[in-house]
Amino acid sequence: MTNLSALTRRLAETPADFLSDQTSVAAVVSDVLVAAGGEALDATTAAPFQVTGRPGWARLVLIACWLVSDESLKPDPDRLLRYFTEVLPQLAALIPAEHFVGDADRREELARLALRELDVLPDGETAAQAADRLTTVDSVRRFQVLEEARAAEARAKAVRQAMEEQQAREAAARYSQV
Amino acid sequence: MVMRTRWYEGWLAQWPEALRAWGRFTKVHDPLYCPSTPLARKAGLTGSFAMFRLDDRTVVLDMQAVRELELQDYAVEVMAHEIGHHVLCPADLADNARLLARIRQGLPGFESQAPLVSNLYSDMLINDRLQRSRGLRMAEVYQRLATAQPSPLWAFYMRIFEILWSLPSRSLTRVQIADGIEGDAQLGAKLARVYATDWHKGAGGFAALCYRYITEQSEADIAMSRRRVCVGVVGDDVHVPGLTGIDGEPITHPSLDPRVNEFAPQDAPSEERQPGEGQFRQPFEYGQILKQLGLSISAETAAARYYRERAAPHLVRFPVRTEPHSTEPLPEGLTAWDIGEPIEAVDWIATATRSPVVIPGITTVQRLTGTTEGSDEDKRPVDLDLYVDSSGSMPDPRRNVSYLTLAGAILALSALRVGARVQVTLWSGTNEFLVTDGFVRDEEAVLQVLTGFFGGATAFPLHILRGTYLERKRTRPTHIVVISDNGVDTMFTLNDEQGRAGSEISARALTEAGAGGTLLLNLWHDDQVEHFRQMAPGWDVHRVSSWPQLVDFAKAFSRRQYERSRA
Repeated sequence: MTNLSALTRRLAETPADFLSDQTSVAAVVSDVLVAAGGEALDATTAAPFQVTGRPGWARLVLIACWLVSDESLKPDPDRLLRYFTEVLPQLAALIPAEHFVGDADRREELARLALRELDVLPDGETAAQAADRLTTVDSVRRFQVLEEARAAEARAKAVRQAMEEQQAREAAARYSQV
Repeated sequence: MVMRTRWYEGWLAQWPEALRAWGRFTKVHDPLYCPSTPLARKAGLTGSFAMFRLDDRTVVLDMQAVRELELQDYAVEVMAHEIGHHVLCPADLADNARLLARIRQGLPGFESQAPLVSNLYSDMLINDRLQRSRGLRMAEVYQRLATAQPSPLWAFYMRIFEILWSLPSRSLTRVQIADGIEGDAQLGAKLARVYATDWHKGAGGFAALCYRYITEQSEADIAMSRRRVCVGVVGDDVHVPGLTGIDGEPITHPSLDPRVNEFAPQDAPSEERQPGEGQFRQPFEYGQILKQLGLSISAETAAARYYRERAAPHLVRFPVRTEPHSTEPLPEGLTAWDIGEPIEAVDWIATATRSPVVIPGITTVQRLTGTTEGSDEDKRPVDLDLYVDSSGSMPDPRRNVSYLTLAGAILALSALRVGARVQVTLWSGTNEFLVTDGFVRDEEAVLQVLTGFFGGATAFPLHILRGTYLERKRTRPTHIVVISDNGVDTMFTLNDEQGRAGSEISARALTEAGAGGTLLLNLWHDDQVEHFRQMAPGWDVHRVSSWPQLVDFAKAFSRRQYERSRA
């Protein structure tokens, strides 16, 4: 059990080093894995974290490293690696990494995703409640439903415009001379 | 004797606590508790359990409905919410009107539902603030209000609160939410946060979000939603300033607003502004908004308010005649007093000095007084006599803006401002006329007649012109203004019922009025102006059928009157 608000606060207070493009992502990930009781990255496993140009995913991994280093978490190294390499890329494809520090909902999402991947429940929540809330803040799902809302709006817009045109015609009919 | 206490007496004791939710210095006088729904209805509260009256800043609660909705234990929550309408949204009459007008813009064809959407929007902002920042149990209140079969609108609205307050799904909605509604609720929740402190900007977007639910709602759904939101009302005498202007900002659906939807393109194409869109709404829509705000006023009163507000910034310098001060008496000696003259006119001292024996008509004398002009000058405004054509060819000023009526309102209000008296005659066919009670100083009466409408035939009321100037002597100089179109020729070409030529009556009236005359005409071409100048010698003829022409007229009128006053 972990206090979710402590984790989101931790994210809000992410140190500048974890946001810097100068920091070596592979080195930080390796340190986090070792601290969790796993093995350090070797040349092969470090390669994905050493891409040039610092994509959004690499920035997000750095922020996540700061998050999972919280003392209340005792992460399993394998789960941790899966969190970094399988979950975060989907997220980084949709949302700029800095939003996970500056936006309250995104902080909650990142922390909840970490807890889910590490198989930990937030304090005072059942598994169903935690899953339900994660569904609400889940960016991947949000992207889908918002795209749907946008498509619905495109359809509604046609109706609205037809209505506005009809009103304009009625106004013109009322309009006698001036 | 044992007094039966009412169950809600504890509510009043909690009023200060409800006030404190909005700060230590918030002051709103005690609410009005109506023990039963019929009594609440008498106090003006219908269709809901609570309302806020913005004109006298009163909160009114229907305690029977509160009990039926099982909200007895939520005194602070319910009352703090109502106070929120007085301090956060909409807070005052003008903002309330602007909010409603903006929401109407987002609901084309369904403007009648704007008050409901406006209440949903302000309730959402207030409740989110109270729940998140003040720790009040707003979520529990909504749990009490939950219904097993919510309408799509109510489900969407409740889902917003579930998202805002991190509540489990279905805790307020009670039903499984479809993806389409989920997307809208996500946008609604984000909008509530993004525009929390600049709520006027978010109102149009919220209306756009509600649009598709409003179009699908049944009357029963609407009544259900209305019962669960509080209502805002204002009194009939309230004047709402700034409502003639339109908020020209186009409405952006939240799914296209990058501030609300982070997946929306940053340079989201905002909806194109309609070509030719003015900065002012039409009188018809103005009247509708006033009605939706809860004012039960007639179309005439609404139109009068509309033209007053639009005319107010453009008042002109109305002509004022400078005259010598009222003459003073000057003693010029004595003269004989004869029998038959007023006895009080006898100067007894002079009479006794002349002869101790008084013989009436022989020795009696009286003072002879002449007059002298005073040194001060007196300014007297010229009166205004307005004749407004209301035949079928003229626009109805209560529906669409009429620049002629606006010109008339500008002149009338300018005249009243400098202390002049105004007579307005609304005319159409024979025997179709409405006139103020002579020359009056009553702004309401003047505007009511000015903005009226007959829509009949065209026959200038020559008998009123004749009665005003030829059958009685006007002691004060008067400026005559005729507002019309081509139909003004009936003033010159027709005869009155006594067979006198209209041209003769008009010319004599102009002379007798003594302060000039103006014909304000809605003409199709400038060429027609010359035609009417020849028909009406001595009259100033202006064509006013658009805003620039109205401005030109106002300038010309001021200049002409200035020249006249210097002549």
